[in-house]
Amino acid sequence: MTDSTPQGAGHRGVTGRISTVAVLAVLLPVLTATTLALVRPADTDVPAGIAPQTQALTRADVACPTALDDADQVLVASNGRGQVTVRAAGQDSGEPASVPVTPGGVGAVELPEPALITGRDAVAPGLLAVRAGGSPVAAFVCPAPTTEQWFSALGGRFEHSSVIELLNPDQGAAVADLSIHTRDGLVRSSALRGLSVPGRSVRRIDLAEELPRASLMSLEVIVSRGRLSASVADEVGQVGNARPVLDWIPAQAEPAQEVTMLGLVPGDGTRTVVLTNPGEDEISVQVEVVSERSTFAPTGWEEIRVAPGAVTVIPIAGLAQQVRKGALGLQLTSSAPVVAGLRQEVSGDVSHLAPTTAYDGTARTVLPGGPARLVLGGTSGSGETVVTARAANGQRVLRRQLTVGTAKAAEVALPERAASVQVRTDAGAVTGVVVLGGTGHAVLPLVQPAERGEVPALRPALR
Amino acid sequence: MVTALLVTHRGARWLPAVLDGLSAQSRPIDRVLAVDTGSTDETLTMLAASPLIEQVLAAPDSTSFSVAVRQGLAEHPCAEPDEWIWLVHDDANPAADALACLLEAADEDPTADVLGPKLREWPSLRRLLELGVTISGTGHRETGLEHGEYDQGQHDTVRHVLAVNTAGMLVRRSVLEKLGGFDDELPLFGNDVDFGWRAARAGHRTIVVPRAVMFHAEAAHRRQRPSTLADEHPRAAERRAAFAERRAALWTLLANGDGRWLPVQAVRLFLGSILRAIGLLLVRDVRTARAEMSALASVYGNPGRLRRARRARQEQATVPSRDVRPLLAPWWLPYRHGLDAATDFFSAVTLQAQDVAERRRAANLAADLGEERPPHRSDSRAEDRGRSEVRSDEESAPAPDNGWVVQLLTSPVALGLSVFLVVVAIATRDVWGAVAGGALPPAPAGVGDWWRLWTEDWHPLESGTNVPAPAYVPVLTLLGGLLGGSAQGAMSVLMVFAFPIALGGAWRLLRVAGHLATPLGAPRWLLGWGAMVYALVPATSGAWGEGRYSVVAATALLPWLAHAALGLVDPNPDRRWRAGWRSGLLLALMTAFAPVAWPLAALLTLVVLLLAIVLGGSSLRQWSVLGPALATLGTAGVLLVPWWLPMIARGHWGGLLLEPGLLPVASLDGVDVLTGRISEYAAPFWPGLVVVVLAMAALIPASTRLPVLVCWLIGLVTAVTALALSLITLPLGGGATRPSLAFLAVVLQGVAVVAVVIAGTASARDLVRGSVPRVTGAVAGLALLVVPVLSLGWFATIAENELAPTGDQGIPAYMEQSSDLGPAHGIVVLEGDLDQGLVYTVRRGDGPTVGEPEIIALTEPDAALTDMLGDLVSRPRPAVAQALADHGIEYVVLSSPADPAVAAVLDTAPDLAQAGTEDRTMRAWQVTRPLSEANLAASNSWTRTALLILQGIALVVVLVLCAPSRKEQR
Repeated sequence: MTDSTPQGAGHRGVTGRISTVAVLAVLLPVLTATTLALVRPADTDVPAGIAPQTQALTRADVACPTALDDADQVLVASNGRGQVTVRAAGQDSGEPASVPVTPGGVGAVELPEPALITGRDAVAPGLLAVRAGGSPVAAFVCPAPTTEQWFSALGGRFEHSSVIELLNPDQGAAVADLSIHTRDGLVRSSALRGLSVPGRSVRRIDLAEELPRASLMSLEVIVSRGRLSASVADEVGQVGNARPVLDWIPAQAEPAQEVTMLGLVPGDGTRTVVLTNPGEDEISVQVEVVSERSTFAPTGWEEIRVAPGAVTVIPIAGLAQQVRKGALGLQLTSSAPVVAGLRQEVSGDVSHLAPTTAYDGTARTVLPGGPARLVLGGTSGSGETVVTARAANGQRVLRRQLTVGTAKAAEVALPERAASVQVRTDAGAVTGVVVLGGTGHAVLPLVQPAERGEVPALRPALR
Repeated sequence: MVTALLVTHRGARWLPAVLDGLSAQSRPIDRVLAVDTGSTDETLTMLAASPLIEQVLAAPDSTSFSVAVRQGLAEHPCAEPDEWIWLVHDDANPAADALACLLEAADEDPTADVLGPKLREWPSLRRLLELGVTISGTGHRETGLEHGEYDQGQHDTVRHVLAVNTAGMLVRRSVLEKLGGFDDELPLFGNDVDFGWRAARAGHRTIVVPRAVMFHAEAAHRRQRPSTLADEHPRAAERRAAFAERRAALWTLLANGDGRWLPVQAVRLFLGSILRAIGLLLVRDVRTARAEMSALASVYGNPGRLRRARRARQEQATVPSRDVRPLLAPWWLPYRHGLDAATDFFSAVTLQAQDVAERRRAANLAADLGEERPPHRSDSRAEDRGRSEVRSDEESAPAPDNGWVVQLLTSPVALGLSVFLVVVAIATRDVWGAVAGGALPPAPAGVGDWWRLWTEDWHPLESGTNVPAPAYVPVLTLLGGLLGGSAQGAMSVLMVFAFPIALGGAWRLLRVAGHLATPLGAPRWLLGWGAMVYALVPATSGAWGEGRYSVVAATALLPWLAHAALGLVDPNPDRRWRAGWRSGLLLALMTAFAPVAWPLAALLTLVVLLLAIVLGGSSLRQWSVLGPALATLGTAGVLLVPWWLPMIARGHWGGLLLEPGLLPVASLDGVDVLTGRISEYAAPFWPGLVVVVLAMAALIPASTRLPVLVCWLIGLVTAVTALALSLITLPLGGGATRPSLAFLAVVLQGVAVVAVVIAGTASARDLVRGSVPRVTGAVAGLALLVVPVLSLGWFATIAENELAPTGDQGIPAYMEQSSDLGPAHGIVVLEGDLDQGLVYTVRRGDGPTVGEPEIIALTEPDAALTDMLGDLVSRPRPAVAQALADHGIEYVVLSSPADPAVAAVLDTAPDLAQAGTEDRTMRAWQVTRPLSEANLAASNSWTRTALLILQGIALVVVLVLCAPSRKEQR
């Protein structure tokens, strides 16, 4: 090395000094780099989320719409024993009524006004209410507040009008946006946006007034603030002086690609499938018939095309014949999520079918009594399905064990005393409806009222 | 007839020359009398031996000048009516024609009764001392001359003045006797001004005759005369003289001043004297301060004598005060002096460690034995001398006397730095005025909030907390205070001015480092390069873009601290001590912003001390070597005591190393630390890597290898610190984090830049001289050029950042307004959803503003509040709303996008009313129960006050200790 460092000469020896410096010149950078290589970076990941806790519900709210005709009975059931509070919406004053319920039993109260039903603590899990009655019969499962719902086959004419009811079970105001789809697509109406519903009250929107249209429509209700239970009452004015027939339109929770609608009723009349395409591309929908034996597409049933945002109304001519042959429902397979509904104006009454929801394990409903049959959709696996019907006092009036199988449907006649029916299966999910007979017809879907609620985990933020 | 009166007092040193001067007068003196006041040296003998002197009068030692004059005259009654008295001091030597010129002037101007010569410095003979004197409103003796001004005939006109010095004063005997001679109250100093003033009031004219020259040694003023008391300590003598001078000034002003303004003047002088004394104490000149106060007490303590003196003057006065006023100094003069003093002080402060390299070389030369050389030296002394001549040619050539614009445009370095500043101004344009974003929370409404945060012991944050505020809060308070109370302005200034401050600091540091490494120092363009590269580190590292204001501030402070710390190797112990205090102050400032700075400094100190022991340094045994280094660490510790002591005492030790700003802290791995990449906003072309590679290359030139190795040693210590810190987990209130390594990355970049500049000092000159191959030079030059040019271009154009004028707090405006009403109007902000869980924060006042996130982070979450909110989102009962109100919670906000499932539960909560939000995806509820702030009430604690007082005292003491010594200013 030809280091010419002059100083140090004569003090410690040039070579010794040079070699130390040279060694350090290599050693220090290497040591620095090595030390830094061992540095591990601070963990700045956001802490993983914590799953919610599940616990028995401590409060459940459902809201029943205004009584139609004389269907002013509210039937209430719960898993527990206790008092369920029933309060007429829009009436702040006055003590709310209490309806005693027992496990398996059904309580009833007569209240023509829209009713806010609250179960706390023991009676919150499994709280279920149904408004039913009238002649011809009408029935509706009172909905719990939800944020998004679809309704199909609404009318905006004098002779067929639909009234939307928004019920707010809470103290604070709630706000909903209604979107109407028609044959021509989405209708933007400022009158239906930002609808505010004061606390514990109801707001009605008569479509014939707000949005007169000749063709059938579909409705999307989105609750943007607060909680609301939405329902749609459908009224068909009979020609002449006859009384109008009324029923409620059941809701579809969300558009789906494959939907099953159960509860076809026999008789003469029109059966109209109403399809709404909420997407932005045209879709094609294949309609098939579900019977106790199989699911099939009858010859000549073409694929239905639905334009984006539009509603397509298809009166299915051959359906009456299929019902006579034992068709219990329809299955729709769409190329993209679709909103569907079936309107049956049969034997002087009107009733609506909406896609059934599949529930794990069990599903049930309460019914006003009288002739009724249970229609079950296909299970997702193989196994036994048990149908239990009980009278209003909780006494069992029917127990039937059956196997439904996939892509099939089953039908069970219910005793007239039956006030509630429960279906339990170990073959996957349950879908089904109860078709009420007697004078007219009405269809009540089987539901699975919430028993347990999810409580979000809560912690202080890492600040 | 002229009678010369020579007053002597231990003036044997000058007397022979004075006697020669008197006898050599071209106009002979008619008679010469001498009065000696108690000389103990050969003065009396000399006087007696002189044939010139008619009579020598020996007066006792205590005789004052005025008495001596009076006695001298009394011995020799007036010989003729037109007799002139020429007063001569034993340290004032007249030129041969002095008396002739004075008398000539007296003939030319018969109205003149008092005449004075031009006084020049003795023994330099060329410098002007006085051409007549006056007095300013604060008692300062004004000569109207610059200090050390050379006599080039620039003042050679006969002027009417207030007074002339008694040394060489030619005065009509009649006037002198009529006015009663000089005032006995002024034994030593200031009697000339007083006499002149009295003469002027009595209608006599005083003129200065520049043709007549006298050389004056100013023996008394310069404390050159042997003390009166033989065994008096020189310091005591100095104090006595300072006392006499100041007393004379006060006396003269109060005895002669205009009666109407006397009360005002008295108050002004009183307050002024106290201020002066405080100022003197602040620069550690205790003696003069004491003299100042003694003089004040002496004059003001005896109003009777002053009254008598004023009455006597009134009786003699024939001319109104206003006629004398033009002869006094203008009113603004004291302020100009004050400004000059302040300028001198600040330049002394900034230049404190400037010449450490030169002083070390000088000290080494003085030692001259070549024993232990400091590690920075790498050249022989012979080379030193040779090169310093070269240097004076290259660097210190006097700048051509052009305007600054021309100088700017013709100097590439100045031009480059100007471009740098302009580009930085453009790049930071968005944050002028207000800034927030990333790790930088919004600034509070005003510095008052910061002050409260710093002074209060219990903060109404979250559910109330006793975590002490971060240490930088008082610094920002001060900065904001200087900006008129604007906290936003303070943050904006911090984020913008950090660049020029870092640039200036780096320039100074690199210049000294260059000089320490080689006597020639680094060429200016290399300094410019290094300063620019370093000053851009906040930008290129991404710290600025991510709003890491603490790193930005620490980057700006680091070179100043390093510069101050270089003073620790100064050969002068006094300067070492001052460097220690100064470094301690800067280290405290730095630790306030970057808490890991203190452990790094401690480790560095330890390593240096160990090395010194290993290398067998004997200097460590001197307390003045070890002491300042320890003082640095200790000072920082004491100055930050209101921060760390409560932090430890209350179990929040995680806060000791917590990086300021919003969490999460910057996460750096080893490569990031080495290459200075602090966030994802770092420059994409890895400028830090280039600098580190250059720093490795800096080890190649042999001549500067040793100082570059010192830089690498610092780098290694920094790396070890980084490794140690990366093993620590800091417990926080609601979790844990790690110490930020961002500051260490900045240190490494800084050290690398210093290494490159040191290596470049020698190499660059070789390059310029052509002794380095051109290709090597071109590669090195390109590598150097690319970093600042690319960085600047990138920073001004495409660099992204998270900063914005104001941060979005995600809260409706009306809630912000409501929460400003008081701490009880708190807002709980819930984030998350049902599936992932919710996290909550409590927002009070104007939200988490600068200084508060650290407190909140360290605060143990309130378990009761967590339970309460858990109830709220699962099973709201009326009691929950009441509990929220009791905790001072007015609103519950479910931030966007609000989970409907969670909102649904809150919608059912009793006594919780829905509140409006502009953003429809957000939900909010208002607690309708009456709010209470009982749980948040701050209790004032005396411990906090005591700690703050301790800090304040420590700050004043440290500032005094690190101020430049006044003696050196003289």
